[in-house]
Amino acid sequence: MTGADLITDYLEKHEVQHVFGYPGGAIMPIYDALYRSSVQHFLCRHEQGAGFAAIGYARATGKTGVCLATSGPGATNLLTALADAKLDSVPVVAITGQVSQAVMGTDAFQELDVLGLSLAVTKHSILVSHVDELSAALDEAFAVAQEGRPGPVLIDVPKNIQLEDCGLKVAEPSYQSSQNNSGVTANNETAIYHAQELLKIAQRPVAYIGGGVMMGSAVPALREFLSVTQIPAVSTLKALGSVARDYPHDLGMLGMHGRECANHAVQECDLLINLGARFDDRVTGELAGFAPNAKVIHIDIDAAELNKIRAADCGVLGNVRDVLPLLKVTTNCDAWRSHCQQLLSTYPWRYDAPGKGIYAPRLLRDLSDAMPTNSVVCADVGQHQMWIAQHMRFSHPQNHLSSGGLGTMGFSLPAGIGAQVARPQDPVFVICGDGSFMMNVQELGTIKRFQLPVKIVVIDNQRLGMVRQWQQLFFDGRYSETDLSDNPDFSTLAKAFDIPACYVENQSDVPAAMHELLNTSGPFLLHVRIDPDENVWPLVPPGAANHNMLTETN
Amino acid sequence: MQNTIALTVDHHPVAIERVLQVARYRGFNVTGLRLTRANDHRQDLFLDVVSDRNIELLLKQLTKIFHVLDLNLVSLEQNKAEVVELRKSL
Repeated sequence: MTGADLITDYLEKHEVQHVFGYPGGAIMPIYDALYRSSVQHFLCRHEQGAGFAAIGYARATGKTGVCLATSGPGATNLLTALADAKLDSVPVVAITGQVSQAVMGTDAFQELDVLGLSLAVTKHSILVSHVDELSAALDEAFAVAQEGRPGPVLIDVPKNIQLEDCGLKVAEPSYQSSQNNSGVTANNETAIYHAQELLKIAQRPVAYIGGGVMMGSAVPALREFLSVTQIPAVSTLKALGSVARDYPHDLGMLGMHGRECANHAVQECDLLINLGARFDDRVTGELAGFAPNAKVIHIDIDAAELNKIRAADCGVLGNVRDVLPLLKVTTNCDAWRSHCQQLLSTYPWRYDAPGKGIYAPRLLRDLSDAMPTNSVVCADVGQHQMWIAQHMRFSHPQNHLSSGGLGTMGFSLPAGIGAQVARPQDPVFVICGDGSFMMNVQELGTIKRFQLPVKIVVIDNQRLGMVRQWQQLFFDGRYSETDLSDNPDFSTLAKAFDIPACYVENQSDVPAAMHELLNTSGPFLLHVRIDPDENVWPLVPPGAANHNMLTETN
Repeated sequence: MQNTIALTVDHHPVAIERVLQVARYRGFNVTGLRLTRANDHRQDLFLDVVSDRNIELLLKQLTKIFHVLDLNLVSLEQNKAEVVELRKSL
């Protein structure tokens, strides 16, 4: 058994059924082993596509996504996806080929210090230095990717080690995690008691739900907690779908483009219960003015997040899933709940846009209502991303994949591929802007190759829309390099990949087009033209507190 | 504010790099570094850092590094190698 055989054998034994990648010189032995392996490899058309496909696979299921790339440019093409996984805490293992050890450090062909490059964008990374270390390295990588706060791990394997005979023996798993992935530590008993007391006396509590709820498999625990406490809830981008769809006190997303009712509730609350969120700046706005009257309970599995941005009156280190059952107390805040319901009524979304053109929020709401509840929506980055978050409903956070922390354009198409591979029985919708679509458009080739029934909706305003909006609002309308009116014909482009497509620009044509989208059995692209000047509202401007939102009318 | 952190790290080529990368990235200037080999598998690292930021920020991030086995904050103000707080121990 060679090192390469050991790698594929390891993947098989650990039930890794799918990997995404692109071959090259330094990883050829692994690809040779894959040729004989039961692991199914999905050839993407760019290593970044492979990385995002691994992310989509992981985010749609909770499993570890695996991607492969060769040395040098193959590895560097993975870096953006690894950074995305790091900032959104996604469990990914990337295996890269490296030049042979004999020539490492000599500026060999396609040689780069991948280990060095990986330091800023991975949770952990390993350069395998001997074939005897390979099995332990794989154990370490897969365990670290999932334990505690998940994240990406890179394993760099020199070519000579891939080719070397490791004997028939496979090393026994040796990695011992030092992290307690579950349970509440003894030191938390005092904190738990303090949290219970804070909940009992709070008159205006708000649950601030973050991505850690989904990552900690705590969605059922959260829904149970809310059903008992009946606390009004706000969600981050990654947490959307965590709250049950019929929960009456769901105020929606908070933050820069959050709902007005959500932002006002947080600003008025006297207790903010942070469940697996990190006080990201897109959420808090001007930090000194965020939840100014609130005590804070912060529950997180990562000790580094407690007191990092906002001091917690009560910090609880642990998995939200294990802590929440201990906090199911009855709250006395009927007046506050009524007030939050009033906020919901005072700040409704509106869909009555005039004119014949298509209003994206309405289209997305209609699509959300029409699609099956087990659908996965992969958003890209920009105005459409915020409209998706505002106007679409999700039955589970694993059904809404959106690049949050890094905000990487080009995310959605390959992530949708990964999600579809992971969940072949569920519909997958890729919804992107025209700018985002072009960034990883080569992955239409992957959809064609594997006949993945991904449904693509391109919201086309012929602009880099979010940047254009900021130029309008904050740069006196100086529209520098945001005009994309020379896009190709997306329908023709899709058809070049044997993907049927249709184009709409009038609201009256949307129902038929949506019917075709939803009822086509294979892949399909719906190209939707919208007004280039449409903006995302509300918006919390830079340096402002969250209650000082800009709206369409102010 | 100046602080000294005493770490025990894997005897691994990239361990020191990761520690320095995290210190720099989190806004801490490294003003001194002393490295001694404890045994075949471990090395002791004393890191002097200066920053306007709370040292807790750096300590918590360093604790997360896979290769960091042990970590203590040593009080520089007392001018002796006194362990102020045991933060991580394997």
